[in-house]
Amino acid sequence: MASVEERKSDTVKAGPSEEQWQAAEKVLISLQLARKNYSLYPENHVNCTRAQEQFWLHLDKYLRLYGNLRFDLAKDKLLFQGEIILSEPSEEGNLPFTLFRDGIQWLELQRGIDSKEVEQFLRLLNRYRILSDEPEGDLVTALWEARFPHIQYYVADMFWGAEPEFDLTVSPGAAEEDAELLEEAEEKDSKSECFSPIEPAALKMTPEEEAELREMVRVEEKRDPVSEYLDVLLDSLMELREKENFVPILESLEDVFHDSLARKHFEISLKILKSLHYVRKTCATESTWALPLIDNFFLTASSAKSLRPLQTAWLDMDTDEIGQIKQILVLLQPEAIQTLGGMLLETSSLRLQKMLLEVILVLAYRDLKPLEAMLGRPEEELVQKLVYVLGRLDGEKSTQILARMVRHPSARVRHEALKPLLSRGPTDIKGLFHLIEDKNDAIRRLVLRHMAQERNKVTETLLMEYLEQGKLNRSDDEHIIACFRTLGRCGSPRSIPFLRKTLLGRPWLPGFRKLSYRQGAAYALQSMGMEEAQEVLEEASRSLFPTVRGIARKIIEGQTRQRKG
Amino acid sequence: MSEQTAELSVAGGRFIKAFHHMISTVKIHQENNQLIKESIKHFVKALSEISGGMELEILLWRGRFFIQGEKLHYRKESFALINEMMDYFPQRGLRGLIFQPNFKESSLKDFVIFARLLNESAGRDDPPNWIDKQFQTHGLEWVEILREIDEDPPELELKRKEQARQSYMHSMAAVKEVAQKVSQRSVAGIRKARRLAQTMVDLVLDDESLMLGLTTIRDYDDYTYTHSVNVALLAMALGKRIGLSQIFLEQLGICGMFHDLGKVEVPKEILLKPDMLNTGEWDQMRKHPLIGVHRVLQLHASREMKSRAALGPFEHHLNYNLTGYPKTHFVNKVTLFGKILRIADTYDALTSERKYRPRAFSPDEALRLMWSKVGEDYDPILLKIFVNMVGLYPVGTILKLDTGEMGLVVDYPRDDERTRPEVLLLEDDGQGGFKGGKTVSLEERDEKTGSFLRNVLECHHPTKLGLQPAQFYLKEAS
Ligand SMILES: [Fe+2]
Ligand SMILES: [Fe+2]
Repeated sequence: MASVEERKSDTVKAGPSEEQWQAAEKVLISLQLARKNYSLYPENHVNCTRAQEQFWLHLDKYLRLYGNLRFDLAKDKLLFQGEIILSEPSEEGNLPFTLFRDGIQWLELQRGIDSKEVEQFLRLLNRYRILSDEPEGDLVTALWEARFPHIQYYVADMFWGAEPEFDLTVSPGAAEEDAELLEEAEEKDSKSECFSPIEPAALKMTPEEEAELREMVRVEEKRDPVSEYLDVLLDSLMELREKENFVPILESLEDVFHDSLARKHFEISLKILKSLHYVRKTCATESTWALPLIDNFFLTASSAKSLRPLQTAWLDMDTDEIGQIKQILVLLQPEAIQTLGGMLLETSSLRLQKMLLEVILVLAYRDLKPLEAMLGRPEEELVQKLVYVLGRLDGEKSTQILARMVRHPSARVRHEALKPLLSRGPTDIKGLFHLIEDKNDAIRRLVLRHMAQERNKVTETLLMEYLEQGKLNRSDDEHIIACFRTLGRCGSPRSIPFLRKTLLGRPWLPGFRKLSYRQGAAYALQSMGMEEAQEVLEEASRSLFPTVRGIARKIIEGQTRQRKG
Repeated sequence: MSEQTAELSVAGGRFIKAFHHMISTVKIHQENNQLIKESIKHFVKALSEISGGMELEILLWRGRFFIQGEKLHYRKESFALINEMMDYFPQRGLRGLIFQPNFKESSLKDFVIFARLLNESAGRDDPPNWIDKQFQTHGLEWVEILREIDEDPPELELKRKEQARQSYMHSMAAVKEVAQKVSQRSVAGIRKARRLAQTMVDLVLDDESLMLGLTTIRDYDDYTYTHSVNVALLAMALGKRIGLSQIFLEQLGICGMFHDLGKVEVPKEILLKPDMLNTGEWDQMRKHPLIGVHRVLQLHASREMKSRAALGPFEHHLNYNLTGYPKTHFVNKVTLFGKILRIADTYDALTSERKYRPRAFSPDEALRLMWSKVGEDYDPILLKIFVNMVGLYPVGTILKLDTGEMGLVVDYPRDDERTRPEVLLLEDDGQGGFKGGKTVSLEERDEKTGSFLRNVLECHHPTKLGLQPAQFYLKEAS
């Protein structure tokens, strides 16, 4: 092949004409320009594409007119047909040096090259412009793998120094590691018994074997090596329990994990997390030193940097994939909530939001602290969503936090916190009572409706004191009436004297109340549905004061109508 | 095989076929026969195609055809025909033919004469001389014969040998360098190793036998490194046989080169212990695959590269049926790379001399030993192919022949059936040692009786005779 053996070039050997020389120069100039652009911009930047097109145009023109174009290499120059066509100091990054550094002696661009090949070639030239100290490969390894059909080159072998010293005399070797096989062999040997010969017929491949082999090769060349690599890493963790070895393996796993998320190979990500949970279990008794290391893996995996790629990945995901992501996320540390919360805000997809909330719920169930820490965040929507999650978590701790959240400046948050609190077993109504004056209608209604649900001494007392002692900050009629109605539902005969006084009281006496008070008291009495209450209403309907009379009569008439109807 | 060589091989195959067809047709039919005309047209066409307007040299050397200095690779199907042509040349004392570009100016009749003369020469006293004269008489100036006297291999062949030898040495040095760097926990890149692996892939594709011959190299101090390169070569050759693409062969080579990287951490006292190891020492030894994985992780290489390269250390002591070591928990099957390395590693280890063992296994003993574990330790399909590849008497085996001669197996003339090798006869060097004599093929038959001239009586490990087979291969190159 061209890379290892001298081959004859069909480039014309007679000296080039003036035009040919200029054409070759143009190719070179456009190549240099393209290299420059590739080094400044991303590979698919328009400047690169343009420069690459220019290069290809000049090259194509040359190849059509003069045939293959070949440059010979020195460390600081390119030669064209024996003459220097480009001189550059032998420095990293310069074209002659880059090619020369990797041992290329000549490079030939041949007829038939297309723009695709040119583009690939430019990319490689750029990628290997500068080599790191201990590189994985170089331009030559890349060209070898690329196998460009129209770019030929010749490489000087072993350009990296003198041939090593080597002793070819007979010498015994090191110990063998295949104990079993050897023991068996030696046994047979000592009995001077030979292994039976291999029958040539046994070596013939059957058609089935041929097919199996083809399949084996096909699978090997197609498979993603990461899956086996992962198993190897995990088995290393299981078998080599030494701290020194644990860390680099976990680092490699971390690398595979991040890559799997970015490439949407979620089955890999999932496997890593599941397996590490398993490995962690096996470390619980004897290798306890490993536990913080594994925990740290999970912590890093839960970080924003680690999970960020998901945000681009899930834009076009189907339900199954979203399901997979959910499985992955629930295996993370509760600390992931901090990242997931941010993601929650950034996605507009409802099903993604739903999934994230479910994940946060699972994670917060394991540890509430990370979620709690986020409740002080300024984003109202986020806090509301987190409070929603909190509401779905049972337990004293969550109740405590919710109770705190009902004092949040955001009405949405207060509302969100209030709902679960009210539905949770015996409610500490005293703590919530202030909400009957909340700025938000819905919240007020919610509290009142809750208090109205049953006759309750505590509620009754609270309401009575609130109304009687004039502790109201709100004084709109609607609010006052709503409070009285609630009292009617939760109150007992104990409230009747107060209601009577409010309904029948003289306006000039101390404790005079607005009309809405009388009205509210009347509604409360009506709601009580008790005989004593009804008597007060009857009494009021006979009052000398037209207003009081009017209010009571209206209610009684309503009651009569209801009975008839 | 590179693209160009592959093309040449295809065209070469067509050419030999057309040649064969022409001489057979001319043997049976008359001059003016339509079939003859057709066969000559075919031949001229194939000749033009392959010569491309230049001089064309076709040459038979050591049971192989070379066209323009390149060894001709052929397919199983064309074997019978190629084989016939391989007899055709020596029967006429010919080593080869050279066609000048002016063959194009010759008439159809000239080619008929050319074919008839070649056919008829077989019975003559000094066929080459006769042919020479006849060609002159008939004015066939466009063709020359090469006589079967000079033993010089074609130039490219020599060059390739030198390149192979150098690649081997440098690969060993590269493995050693990487191993030492990782054991000192310093950064180790694999650029050199990859460059060498790529070169070795090219060489294995171009001349498998030559590269297999190199695997008989051993070195005492650097056993692990020669062994690593040997395993890489054997694995790449097996990979080539099963049709892996070049990029995968490169990766397989890297896996082979680094498969015992973990051994660097095993104390030398254990590695070189002359006696059998005790349990504790075995435990140490058995750790080397996993330590090897760790060392691979330390390489300055991409995730993709590491994910392949880690398989070498991890899997090479895992059996086909998942017994062996290390113990597996998550791994539930051995990869194709692993299966290949398992075979290559055991074969090379068994055929190496050991301090505590009276002698190494001869290559054929090693194969038989391995065959006894087929389906348990080794993948049956791959082991079959491996045995077919190294041959029943693998390259490097010393054969005692029924003629009383001793010979070293150097090659097999055919790719598909490897039962009768080519042998370098060993002669007494007068100092109690041996020197290389001429090379013969065990396929050679007595012309009268038709029976083989030489048969194998026994086979031995080369060290039994104090031989380092590689010495003989490499000597040929220098
Ligand atoms: Fe090993
Ligand atoms: Fe090994």
